[in-house]
Amino acid sequence: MKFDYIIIGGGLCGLSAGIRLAEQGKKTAIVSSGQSALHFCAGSFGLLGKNGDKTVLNPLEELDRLPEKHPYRLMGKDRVKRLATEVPAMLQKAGITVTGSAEANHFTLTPFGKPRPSWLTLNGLPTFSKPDEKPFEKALIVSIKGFLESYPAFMVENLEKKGVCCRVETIDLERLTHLRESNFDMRAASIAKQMDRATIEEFASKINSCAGKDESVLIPAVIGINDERELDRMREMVNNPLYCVPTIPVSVPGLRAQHILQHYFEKLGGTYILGDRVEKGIIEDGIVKALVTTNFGEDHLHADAFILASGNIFGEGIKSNPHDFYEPVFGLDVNYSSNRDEWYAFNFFDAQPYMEYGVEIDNDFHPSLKGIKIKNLFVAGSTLAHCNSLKEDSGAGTAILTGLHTADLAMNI
Amino acid sequence: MNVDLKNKEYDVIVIGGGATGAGTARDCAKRGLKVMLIERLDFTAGATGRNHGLLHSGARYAVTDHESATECIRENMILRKIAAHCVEETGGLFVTLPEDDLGYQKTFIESCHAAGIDARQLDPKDVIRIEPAVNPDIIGAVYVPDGAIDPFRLTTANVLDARIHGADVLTYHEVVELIQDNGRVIGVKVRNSITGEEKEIRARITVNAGGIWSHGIAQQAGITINMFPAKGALLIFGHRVNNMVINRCRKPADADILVPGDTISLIGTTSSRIPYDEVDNMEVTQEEVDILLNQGCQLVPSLSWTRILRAYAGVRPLIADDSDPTGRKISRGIVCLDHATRDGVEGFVTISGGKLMTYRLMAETATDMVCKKLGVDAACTTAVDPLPGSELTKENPSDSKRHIIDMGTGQIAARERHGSLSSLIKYDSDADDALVCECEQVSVGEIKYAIDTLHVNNLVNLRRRTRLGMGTCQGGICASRAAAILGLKFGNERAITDLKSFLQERWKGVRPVAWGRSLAEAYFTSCIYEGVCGMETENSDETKITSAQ
Amino acid sequence: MNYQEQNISANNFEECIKCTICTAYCPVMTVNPDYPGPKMAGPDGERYRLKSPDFYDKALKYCLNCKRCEVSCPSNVKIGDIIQSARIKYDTKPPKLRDHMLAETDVMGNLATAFAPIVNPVLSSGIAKAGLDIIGVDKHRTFPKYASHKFSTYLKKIQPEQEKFQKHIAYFHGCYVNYNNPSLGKDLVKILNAVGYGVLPLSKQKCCGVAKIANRLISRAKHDAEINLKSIREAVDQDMPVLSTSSTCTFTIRDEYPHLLGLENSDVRSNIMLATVFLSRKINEGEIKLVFRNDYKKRISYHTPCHMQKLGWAAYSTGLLKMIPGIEFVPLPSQCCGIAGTYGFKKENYEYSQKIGAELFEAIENEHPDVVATDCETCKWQIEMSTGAKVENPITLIAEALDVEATMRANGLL
Repeated sequence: MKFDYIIIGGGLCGLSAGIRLAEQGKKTAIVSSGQSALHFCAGSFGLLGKNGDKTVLNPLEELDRLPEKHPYRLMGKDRVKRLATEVPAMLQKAGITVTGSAEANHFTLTPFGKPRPSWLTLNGLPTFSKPDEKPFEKALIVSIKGFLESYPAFMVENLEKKGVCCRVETIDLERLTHLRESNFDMRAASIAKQMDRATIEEFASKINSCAGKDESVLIPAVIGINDERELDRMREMVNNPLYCVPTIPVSVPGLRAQHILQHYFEKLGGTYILGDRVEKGIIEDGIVKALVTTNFGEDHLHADAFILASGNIFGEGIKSNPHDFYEPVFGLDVNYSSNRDEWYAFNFFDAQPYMEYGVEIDNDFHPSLKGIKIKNLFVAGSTLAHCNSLKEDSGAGTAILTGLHTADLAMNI
Repeated sequence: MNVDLKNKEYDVIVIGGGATGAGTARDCAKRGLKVMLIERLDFTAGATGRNHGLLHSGARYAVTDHESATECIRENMILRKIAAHCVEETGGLFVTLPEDDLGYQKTFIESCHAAGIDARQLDPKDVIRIEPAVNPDIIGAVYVPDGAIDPFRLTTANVLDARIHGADVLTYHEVVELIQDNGRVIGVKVRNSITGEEKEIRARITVNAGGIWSHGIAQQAGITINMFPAKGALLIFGHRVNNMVINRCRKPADADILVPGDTISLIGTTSSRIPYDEVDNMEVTQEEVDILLNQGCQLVPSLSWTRILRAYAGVRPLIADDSDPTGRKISRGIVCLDHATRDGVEGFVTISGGKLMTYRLMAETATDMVCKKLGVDAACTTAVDPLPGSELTKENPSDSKRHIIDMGTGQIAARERHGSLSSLIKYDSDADDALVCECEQVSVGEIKYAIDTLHVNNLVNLRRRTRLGMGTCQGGICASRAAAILGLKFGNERAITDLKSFLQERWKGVRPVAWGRSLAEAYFTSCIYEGVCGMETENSDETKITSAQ
Repeated sequence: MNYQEQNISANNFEECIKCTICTAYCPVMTVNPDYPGPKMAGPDGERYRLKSPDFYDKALKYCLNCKRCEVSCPSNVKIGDIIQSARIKYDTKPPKLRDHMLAETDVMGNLATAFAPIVNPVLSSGIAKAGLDIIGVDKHRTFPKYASHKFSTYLKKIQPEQEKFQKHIAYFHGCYVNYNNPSLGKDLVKILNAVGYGVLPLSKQKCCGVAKIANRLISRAKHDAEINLKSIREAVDQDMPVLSTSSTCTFTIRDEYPHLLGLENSDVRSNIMLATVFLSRKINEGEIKLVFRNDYKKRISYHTPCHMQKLGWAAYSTGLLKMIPGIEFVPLPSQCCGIAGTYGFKKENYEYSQKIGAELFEAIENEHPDVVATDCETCKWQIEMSTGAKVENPITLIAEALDVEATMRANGLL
């Protein structure tokens, strides 16, 4: 099969690149070996939320202080800025409403009620402008009976430290009694699937009957698995201001974002191939000739240029064994230490060196294979080395921006 | 547990919440003594919780140490009866690999028989059929009555029985002083490791069952016990690779035992002497991991590609033989020291040496000495009376089978963990049977039961009582769920801090083997707690902002 | 030392990092709380079953075997295979009479086609439905009508003229084409003949076995599978690819034979494919051309059957349909329709089956296409019963839209 461009990896990065290419009318395919890390997105996209141990307020200004080989540094500040400005409109076109801008980070709440720096926050989450600011004066935190993946008590603990007056109410819904018959089903996505029109109405009226004056209502993010409008409808029904708080993955806002972007890509004419694995790339003279996948078998996938957005060790874009870190599709050059003792930090929450291991690229985002540059292959997103997206809170930013950047580079070769 | 110490007069204080200490407390309490059991951290925090979990048949010692072998097989048969819910009767194999001397097998079998161990030679071809995990190249195999024993359950059951017989129990209380009066130990001063509060507890006799820490405890009375800490590292594999214990039929060496235990398999151990000041802080090294894997793969080739969940190390509390004037000779078997005769300090007894397998016998020996000193004449019943939890299950298999039919898998798992006591787990609400730990199938109800009755102060305690967080994801999914339940009792600030230490404790064991999917798992855990929940390192603070602003 | 280079376990169950993504894509979990879901039934449960078979949960029978868990898994865990293997290994309860009836497609089909004029009205009659209801076949279901002449008989009849073609393919028509819808087979013959390929029968063919596997009639399934593999090997030896018009038959022969029946097929696996795949590849390679009628105008949706999703080949079928100049193509979200072969026919599953498909039915009704294309016959029955929409195999639509003469000319046959 022949396409203009093929992207390996169908998460936030691959979809951003794919949408960019498809918008330009390019015949584009995305091959994704399974669902992506976007499913764990807590409802906000970070561009650069932290650097070292410090919180970043102006991400663009902070770029200069990142390590030299950081993907943002390779893109250059102007490029980061320009693309970052384009993103909200792109998401809006796809059907995802976000608030925020790259000029200044704002903040949203984690499931534990801690402030999280954010570049763009998905519809429904609470936002505020400074980390030490009180997001609300009074909060009613709603917990759902039997749901183990939201933490109202921890939220109270952290919000009260900020001086927010908090109260917890547990609500049960008719349809969830049925779900609780199982020992396994009370997960955010399963609950969200039960939220039909009648159940949302029931939920809203139960909130209305217990919410006090001036209370902001915080519910676990279990509304709107398919469509933001379900959430908007519920907000209209509830008398008080209503916000969603992210849950433990799988995250409903993340799942929705994934589907909306995928659908938009397909509507633009893109081919999204899910559940297929690129087993190897055929490279001749520094050029990727074709990809061999499990399902297409001997019908190799051909394209003019390829973007590798296969993720990090979570999505097996990078793999490891006791001796090495490696990139499994092409065997690209990967940056890592050959001494296993250097892979880890002693403390779990310290910066873990292994998280920065990934594919080395040149200034044009080309990787190399045994030192030889691959001219029609670009690498983007968390597959890249020199970026600890977890510590920097930059996962979504690097995914989207390097995705768009490599798509542009690919169209220029 | 809240113990009102005012006006309490104890006959015995037992220091140490390992199997030996818990067993001694049980035995003393069953003989009518008023007992206080004190543990500085949690039950099984020392060597008891850091070994193979092997129900030795004694075969391993048969050739080199006849006495230990005889003790082992006797206790083995006793434990099958009294601790049925802690034991899996898997059977064991001693296999000879092509590079081993097959001649050793004959000596081995003869020595087993001499010790009363029912060792039977098997045809290697049959062995591959009954235990497919074993290296197919083996040239010889012997069946022995090895099994698996869960040291956490065993210790908890002993504590529960001690309590049933009137004992008081304090965990997280460290003995900071042995109170002496006229050359006699009359009690202990303890410090609450959580609050720092100190108090005195008095008793007629104090038993030191502190394992490797016995050395330091005895020092408080000016007594020297020479101990040789020997570190042993083990690896935990992701699932049950083997269903029988697999040993190598040669002189005991590194990594020659693979034990199936509950949902996993364990290979061990290495052996290296370490300085005494390292016993509280052990790291498994790359070299030890390599030795374990290299040797383990020879025994069972599939270990080469089976996921490894974690590595850990325990310290064998080897004790010097008093008969050797140089103090370098290690004592074999159980050592019970009456410090009155040995050191001129009355009211103080140390019980050490031995092994998990002989904990009950050690307890009996120590209790005999205590009773003699107190002039109490009561017979030991611990070898006959079943432990709490073991009363029903094995004697009445038809009954347990009938239950399985209407039980969810989580309830079956709970029954295997708590035996007949699992009937105490309440599923009051339809939310109580929801699984908190999915890998090990631990429900909300089971967690509440453990918190209420099994001396749980934190997530690590909860893990030892229930297997929460011991499975494939090493707490990635369940830690926060369980922390929220603990928060109901201990407050949320403490629960959040505890969650952090639990994740750190899990990482400590994962780190030596963090590659492949186990590393991906650790990364996913970081994504949940750091990425989604916003937990951070201690030195990080959301109010600290970069200098640019 | 080369230990621990990879974690290899049966069906990769140890690759699972408990991310729980599969649970968000399981169509059964949402509607049936008795079903523990793919994570628990699959890798988590497997770990416990290795400890003791007591941990086998009989609710695993609710698994549709749709494999959507596998498709969504980022860690390559063969979740669906783990679950089906566990059912085969640990479920000791013998299958019911009803299960035998539903699974024995060849026996039923042979009988029914012979007496089609009698059987069809009887099967749709109230009395038969009541009878079937008693043995556990849901009364809402209508059995597909049986044809009065088997397709295999037709294929034998036309064999001499088919042999005259320069190039040939062997056709695994499966039970549906053979007993219920021979015209789909004829459509394939029409298209392939127009591009210069003759369609030959396999020397012998049995039901692919999907229904027998689902109903745990494993030795029967294996028996049939071995016959099929033997004929397939004969065809491949004569350089003939083996084509099918059913995504489920194709998937079963390619993947379930080795994974669930333990039958090695790697020597021929790549030669077994859907007809749409074969046509697309030949078109892409420039070997054949299709020319379509100008007056063919239709609004067509494509439903991706679960096994098509797992095969990863939807792009071929939709690609072919999109080549028809007069069609307006409307994509549908890839979702399970709920029937899952014989699953939805069972009384105990009917309600779940309809709930699972509800979202898809709604999407189809909103798009109001002239026809829904799909590569699976049971999806066709389910969608037709539940929405009233007309459903056809893409091959039928291609055949309808094809300008045979122009195509033959374009392929140098006239």
